[in-house]
Amino acid sequence: MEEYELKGDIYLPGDFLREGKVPPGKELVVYEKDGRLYAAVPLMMDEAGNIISLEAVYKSKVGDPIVGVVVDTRGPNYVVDIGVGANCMILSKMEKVKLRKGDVVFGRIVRLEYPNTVILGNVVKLIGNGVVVDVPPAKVPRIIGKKSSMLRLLKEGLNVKMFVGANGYIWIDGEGDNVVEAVRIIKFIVIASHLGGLTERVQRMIESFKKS
Amino acid sequence: MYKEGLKLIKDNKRIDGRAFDELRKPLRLEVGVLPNANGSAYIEWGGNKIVVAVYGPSEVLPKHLENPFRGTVKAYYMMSTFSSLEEHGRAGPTRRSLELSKVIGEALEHIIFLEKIPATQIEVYILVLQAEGGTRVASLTAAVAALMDAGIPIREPAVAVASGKVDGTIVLDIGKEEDNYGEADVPVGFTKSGEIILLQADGKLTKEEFKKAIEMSWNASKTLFNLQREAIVRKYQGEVNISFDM
Repeated sequence: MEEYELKGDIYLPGDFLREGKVPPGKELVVYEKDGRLYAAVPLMMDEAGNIISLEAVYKSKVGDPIVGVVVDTRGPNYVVDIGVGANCMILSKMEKVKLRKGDVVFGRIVRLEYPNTVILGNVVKLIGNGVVVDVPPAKVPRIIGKKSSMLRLLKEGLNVKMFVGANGYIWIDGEGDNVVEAVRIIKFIVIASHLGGLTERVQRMIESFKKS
Repeated sequence: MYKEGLKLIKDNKRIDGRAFDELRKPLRLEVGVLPNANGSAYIEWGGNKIVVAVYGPSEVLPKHLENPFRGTVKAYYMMSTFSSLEEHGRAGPTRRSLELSKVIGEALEHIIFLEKIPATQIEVYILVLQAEGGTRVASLTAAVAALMDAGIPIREPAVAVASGKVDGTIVLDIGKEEDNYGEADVPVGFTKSGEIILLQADGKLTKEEFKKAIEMSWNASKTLFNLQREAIVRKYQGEVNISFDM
């Protein structure tokens, strides 16, 4: 097996990173004390000072894409399981879709409600024999890739439909074996997300799958 | 408890052959051992074998425990029925397991950024597979590693280690016999900057002896901080094995 280089140094909670303020969107990853920046989770920092978290919890933002499973339709709104700490709802008055328990939906967060509820909008129901894969939300940017290059590679290479939620739920639909291979590659990306040369490796995995 | 004729210290050595300021061996910590948990850790510390799983942040249940300004930490310390002799082998919550759940949970509350994850809960399940004295300190050390593995934002790492008085001498990391037949036991937990997040005491100590016990624990905590660091870094270094089962 080839060796892959780490993309930066590893820092643990409490380690001093650099001078400066908390970068936007990194509130749960780093913290500031007296103008100095410290790590709050295990993370990597490269020479330019960019922070890549190795593990993190998901914090919902307006506009995030979400994949969820409908768990309750009894009340005035649909309750959706999105696998993270926030409660998620679809306001049934605002949406035209009719949903049943167990349906998989894809939408975007339109509103955050105090203290910990998110409202989904622009909801579509995902129809087909798709499977939902659960990955840590911190690894989702790596599965999508730069300008969604990795996602396109997976979709076109394996001929599957994929919807990726920022909450870490991924819906995959396609031919049986292709879906299994897609799940295998996604799990590989999760455990190897901090290493370089990932796109080439995934490319080779897809090619060897096509030959077999 | 006093046992007639039992000498816990002979020729400047303790009952298991250790020096006064020596930690038990083996001392091994591993993270990411349970794939279905958000974070997990396994510690072997002398005869202690403990698994810790961290789930969350998730919805707070029951709902009345939800705090709209802060997260909630729930720690569950459990001893397996085969972990030890005597009352420790009893199933279900006991006086002891409730106490340890409380002190470990409160120690963890001090290092987690709970204000950053309001209205959520973090569950920490601690299962003692084998016990040989000092499980609360080993559990706390492993629980902090599991929190880091789960990506829960924390201020700084924390570890715990017990010191005690045995046959009139202050010793580090007391084992089962020393705990049962010794004179005092002081488990103490430190953050990396030296704050004390856990302190219990059982037995009698003078002021000087107490001070010496805390100092001894603090000196030993550096070994444990290194242990935690190595366990987390090991997860991301070396080869990645992709031949796993689906």
